[in-house]
Amino acid sequence: MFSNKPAILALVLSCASVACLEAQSPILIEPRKPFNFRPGAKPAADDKVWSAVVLGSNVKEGDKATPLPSELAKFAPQLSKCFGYDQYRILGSATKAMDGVVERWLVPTQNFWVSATATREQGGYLVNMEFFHDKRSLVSAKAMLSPGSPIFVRGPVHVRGQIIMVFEVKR
Amino acid sequence: MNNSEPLSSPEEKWTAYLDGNLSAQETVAFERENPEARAEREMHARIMTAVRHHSPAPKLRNADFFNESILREISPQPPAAAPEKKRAVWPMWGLAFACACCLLSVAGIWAGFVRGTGDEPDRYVAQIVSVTAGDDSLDATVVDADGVKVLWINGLEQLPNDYVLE
Repeated sequence: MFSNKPAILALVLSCASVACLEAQSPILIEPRKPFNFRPGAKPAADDKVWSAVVLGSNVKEGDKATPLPSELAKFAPQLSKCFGYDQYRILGSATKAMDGVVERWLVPTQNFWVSATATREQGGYLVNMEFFHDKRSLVSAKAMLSPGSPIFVRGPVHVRGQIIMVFEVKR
Repeated sequence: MNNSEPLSSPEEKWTAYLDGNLSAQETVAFERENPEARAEREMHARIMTAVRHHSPAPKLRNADFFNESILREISPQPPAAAPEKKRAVWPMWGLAFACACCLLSVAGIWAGFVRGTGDEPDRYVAQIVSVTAGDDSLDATVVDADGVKVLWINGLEQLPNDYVLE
């Protein structure tokens, strides 16, 4: 049956091409123009914003590393590469329902909180957020976020480790 | 004469007479009209006898040549061998395979580049539009940590050791 070499060659090449395409994860291109946004998941009416304060620290000799919280588990490689700590622990977290008009305050801990306003745009959320440490504004940012795509903020350093604030639109 | 058609010319009558092809009545009538016919006939018979005796007919090496030729001509000819079909460069199944491969490629490209924007909760998609540090003593930049966005704030003082985090 398989005596036609060009057809077999075409089949093999096509299969190889498809395999390469499928093996390679979709290329994420950071667009230069703002709001050229292609979210991974479409927003839903019951989406929420979630914020957490995370402490990154190194394991003492003889101790066992604390497993990464489930909320951050899939970002373990990025956290390790970016911050360089052995373990990450959530000190506190807060969740609020999405509201495009009213500014929401999320208070994960008594010292760190986030002010956020989120509106749906182009299948994602345009979020205006401002991170506070006590009464001091650390940074304000405007971002387009897709559900399940958190933003990390490198906060101050403590003797116990590095303070990291996380903001995410959750489903 | 045996033939139904009457002999018209004298030459034909003479030939038929000498060959013995005339009937008895015709022979008698012919001899009556030509008194020298009998003598001529005897002479002709003697000559033919002499000819047959001295120069017999040569034996043909292929006596049935004409018959064989005729039989060969009229015999039913075997069907001519069908001309060898020219082999197609792309036979039908090859074209079908090529089409299937093309469809497979298109589906793969579509799945890899187009459909990738569907519901994929595990896919990280975030775009920082603008970042502003809280005050002049701070500096905020966006760091891409393997695709994950990190707002990196420089200029923060270390927290006191007795600072309560929780």
